[in-house]
Amino acid sequence: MYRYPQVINTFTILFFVVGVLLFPHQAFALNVNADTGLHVQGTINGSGYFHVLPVDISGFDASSGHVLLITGCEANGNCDKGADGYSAFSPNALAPDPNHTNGASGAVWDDVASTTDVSTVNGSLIYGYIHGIWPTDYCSGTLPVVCTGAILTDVGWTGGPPNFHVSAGSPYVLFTVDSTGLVVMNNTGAVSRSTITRIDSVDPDNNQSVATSSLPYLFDVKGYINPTDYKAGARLMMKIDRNTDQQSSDALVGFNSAFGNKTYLPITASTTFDVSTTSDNLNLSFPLRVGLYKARWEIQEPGFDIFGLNFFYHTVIGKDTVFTIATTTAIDNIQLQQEAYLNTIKNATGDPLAECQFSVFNTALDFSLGGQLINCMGGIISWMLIPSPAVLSSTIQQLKDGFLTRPPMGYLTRIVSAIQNGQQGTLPNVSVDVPIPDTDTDHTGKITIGFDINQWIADTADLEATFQDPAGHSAKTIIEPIIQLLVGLLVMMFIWNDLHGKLSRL
Amino acid sequence: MISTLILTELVSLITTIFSFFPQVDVLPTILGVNLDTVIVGGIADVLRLADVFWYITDVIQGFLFIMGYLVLKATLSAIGKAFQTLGGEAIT
Repeated sequence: MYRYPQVINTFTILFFVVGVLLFPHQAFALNVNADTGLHVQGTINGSGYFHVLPVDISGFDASSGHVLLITGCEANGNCDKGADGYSAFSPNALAPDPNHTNGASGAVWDDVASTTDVSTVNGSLIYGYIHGIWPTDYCSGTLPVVCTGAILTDVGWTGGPPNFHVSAGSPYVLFTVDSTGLVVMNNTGAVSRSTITRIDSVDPDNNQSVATSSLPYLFDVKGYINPTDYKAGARLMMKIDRNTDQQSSDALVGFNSAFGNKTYLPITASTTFDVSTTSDNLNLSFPLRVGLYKARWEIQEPGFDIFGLNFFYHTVIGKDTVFTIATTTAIDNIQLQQEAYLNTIKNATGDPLAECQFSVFNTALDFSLGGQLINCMGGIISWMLIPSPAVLSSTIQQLKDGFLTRPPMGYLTRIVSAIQNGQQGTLPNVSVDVPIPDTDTDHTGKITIGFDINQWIADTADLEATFQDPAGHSAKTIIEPIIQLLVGLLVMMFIWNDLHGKLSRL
Repeated sequence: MISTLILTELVSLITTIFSFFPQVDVLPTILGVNLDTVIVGGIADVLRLADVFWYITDVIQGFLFIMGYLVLKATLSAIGKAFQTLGGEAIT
């Protein structure tokens, strides 16, 4: 359930306060009114500039991963809205817009995995972009100014450079729900994921290891392209490159990365698709062999066509993955296990090298206490010396399985286990057969005297329960502290006498 | 990383050595006496008695405390003797 009023109120108040405090001579306020669906339209009164647009999204139910996007349009409705009422953005040179790849048919937001403005709020992934509220001059112009800003905190965004220019206009505040971080809305508001152009899965999957024994490998992509995005000539592009991090000595890497190694598979209809290669050739200028590879998968559609020839393809949505071609020898398996083990350590301890991503040639490197260099060294030392809880837990479990359950410690472990898991039993009955010599001549007569200790115990318990003081306290409640005191004193006496050598004289 | 490596290698060495021994699930039978049954049955009886004669629990706890004290003393004594063997002065 969305809590618009709280957010909107906070939104308005914070915005007003910041505006008054920072720009008292250019005060403005952003009033956002609830609208139908999952988008909200508001207006800006006044004009000015702002650095931080305070947007309080902490009140949202973030469990399903709400996404807040803000875009702008002039109040006069003359700002190149497009046929469907919302601004028809184009990726603009003023600021890159990784979220927005298709401006022709309204806002289509996609593939936030590649964006940089990602933040986590209330445990869910939140990402947002502000598409600038541009001056009137630009509204009817040929090139709308698209200002973008990165998330500052979970309550606002910073703008610029340049700073956001606020003029009288109608910012659109759009919400949607999609925890997957894929496309979240179109120009009519939020759309369900089932109608979103998307790449559902790729094969090989991200971080997958492909055995050389399975080559040639058939690359496969599953996804969906909706009618809005679909145009005749749509295609799926697969681009495979060697990972430059591990194979930087390959002179072809740069060339291939820029120009080569692309394979196109046609998408013939607006529907779910499942396209595959028939070989692992993929027009690669190098054979697939053992190593690490990176892949780029894109749904593309043409800009226009002439006589059936398509030109100026652009990307509707894309996805990046890496995969490994590996042999499956015993050594490889050990290596994979070690990699998994190291990943476990890394995941449990965090990335110790996170602070170490700097250049040694950086003359502005911070050498102060708490600076990046010190933190880097501290991270490495901590990583080297302090075992992670996950590793310790795993090691203790290995020790328990491999040592404490084997002779001779295994016998002690078994006794301890029996004590820990022991259940009350029933005590055995005691019975004695007493011969009766006088009643018969063959001396076979006997009487059996039995003693049911369980019955005796039960009766004793009942008897004990009857002993109570006038306040209703049981005998155990009264006596137990005295017994514990006596036992404690005896223990202390034993230790005292032992320490003073008196026990040997007892 | 280093401590993890040492710890892991140590545990791997120990577990490798003891992997030749069988897994102990129950105590053995010696001279026809099933020790596992005896232990489990004996504990069941003690627990039954302790449920009624509840002060047995306090006595057992005191006994275990003294046993712990004796084990600790023996351990410290062994460390002291080892220290002395290595050339240190006797700990008095």
